[in-house]
Amino acid sequence: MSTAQSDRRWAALARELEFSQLPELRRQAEGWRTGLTGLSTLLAVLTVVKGQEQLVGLPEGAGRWAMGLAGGAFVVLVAGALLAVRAAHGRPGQDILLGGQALKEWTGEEIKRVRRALRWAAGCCLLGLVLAVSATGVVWTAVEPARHLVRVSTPSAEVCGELVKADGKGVVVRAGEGAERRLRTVPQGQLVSLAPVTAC
Amino acid sequence: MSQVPQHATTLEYAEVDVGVVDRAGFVQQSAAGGGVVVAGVCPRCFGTTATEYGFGLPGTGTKGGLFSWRRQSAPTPAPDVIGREVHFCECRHPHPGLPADAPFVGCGASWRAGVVPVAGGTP
Repeated sequence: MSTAQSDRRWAALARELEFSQLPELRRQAEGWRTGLTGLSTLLAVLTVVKGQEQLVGLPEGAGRWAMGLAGGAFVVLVAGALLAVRAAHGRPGQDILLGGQALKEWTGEEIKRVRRALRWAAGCCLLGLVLAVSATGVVWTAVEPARHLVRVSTPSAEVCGELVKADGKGVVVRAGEGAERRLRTVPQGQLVSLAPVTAC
Repeated sequence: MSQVPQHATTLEYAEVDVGVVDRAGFVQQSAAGGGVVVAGVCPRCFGTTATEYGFGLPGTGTKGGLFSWRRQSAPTPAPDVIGREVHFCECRHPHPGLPADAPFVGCGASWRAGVVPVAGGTP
């Protein structure tokens, strides 16, 4: 195609765009709506449903690591998803002069921007996956301190906690959580039963 | 003072690239809707031509970063539209042979506007 024919086509295309502004804007809005809705749903499921259930019971250091990695994965994946939506549906913003040559220049630049956005989106996705897998790895491999949980029954009460000591005088159990955590001693005479449990 | 020839209304429609014509014969004005109007005389049929360039969404996406819609501003002032764009005859006269779907109603000529060196003068 000669330059003159090409220029004529670009000018005709720019002229055509004047008459398709609203449908074009609506199409772009629909693309963004779909992308953002999907992203919001995914994030809601991840944060509300999964939440911190996997982090409960981890040693403090491992918990912080897992939290940091999962948070990083979260941010990077959101950025990647937004970049992918931007590459697919464009970005709402400033208008350009609807002339053939202006449109031709813009198209050349936009192609570069879309390619760049796609590259970044793919990079973010990969990095997000690596971070998410690392977070899972930390959770799985974190060594939980050995806890020998027992349930001790007396005629008047039950005590559940970590077995500290058992001898001829009685049984010592560390019961409670956090600030409430303290040693409880059950004298041998009051001991009715002592059974190992997996959780209190 | 040179005289502009009369509008050749019987000239056949033809998609002809006239080349570079003197930009002094064209004016750029602001249009009512925020766009730009470039007006002058068609170098082929000598009819008065005026083309309006509006501002608008170019398709999927516009210039700038991902979040630059936050600094929403008025469209930037039009650059040198006369020198930048390729112009098409829009004398609004249906020249003989004008295709029904032609986007520009005129004689079919196209040209660029620039500084044309005067023969024998300094460049």
